[in-house]
Amino acid sequence: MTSVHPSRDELLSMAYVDDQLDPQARNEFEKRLSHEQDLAAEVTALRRLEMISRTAAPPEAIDFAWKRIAERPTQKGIIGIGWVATIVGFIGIAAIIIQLIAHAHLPLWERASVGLCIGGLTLIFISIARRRWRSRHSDPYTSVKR
Amino acid sequence: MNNVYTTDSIPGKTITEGLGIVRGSSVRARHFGRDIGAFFKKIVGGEVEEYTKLLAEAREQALDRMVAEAKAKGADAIVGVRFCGTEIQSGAAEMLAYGTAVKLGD
Repeated sequence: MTSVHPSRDELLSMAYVDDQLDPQARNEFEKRLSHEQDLAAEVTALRRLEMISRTAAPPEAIDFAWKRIAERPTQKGIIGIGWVATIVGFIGIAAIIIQLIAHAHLPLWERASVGLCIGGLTLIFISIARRRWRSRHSDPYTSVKR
Repeated sequence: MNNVYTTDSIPGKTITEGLGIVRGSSVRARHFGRDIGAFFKKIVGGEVEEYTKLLAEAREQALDRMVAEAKAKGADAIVGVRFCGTEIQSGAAEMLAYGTAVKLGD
């Protein structure tokens, strides 16, 4: 984020977000954005800030109530145990399904087809999750609350 | 651009040129964990904040895209702005923002 004395790139990023660059400077800046990760991160941070100021809503009483409840150790414990149990159970169910397919009295090609389908879908999911994980910092809209 | 209005005219300003329709849309989803939380909130009642946030994110992104299109057309303002929403799939929100890009006189 910007320091007390912003650098030239930080000033350029501010001008870009505020739409103050002339068309030529804007094009040049956008070319740099495509391959300079730090610059893209700076622009995202500024957009996020703009988004927060634009969508800032007065806090409501229910917000404080939810926050208070969420911070209680019992609530944290219940949620934590719930998630751990669900994830462990999910892994167990996946293992049971794999075992059932592996030991099913099916011809090899049928087992291979099911295995390939599950494997393919898993790879697609991993690829999409990876893309989302890596690009999550470039999404300023996640800071919008309501 | 701060000149985004739901009215067809802007008080104190003169519209000199219409640049046509501008629009922005966005389809967003929360992750599966949030959907599980939202599912249980639907059972017990009250605000489902997960989906309030989802709708707000889609709304702001659609608005930004509409404004970006208006800027690209060289507009000074957008009038007659409307929002509409639909659901493409369960747990995902689509928001469409549209309006008319205009040039303003002095």
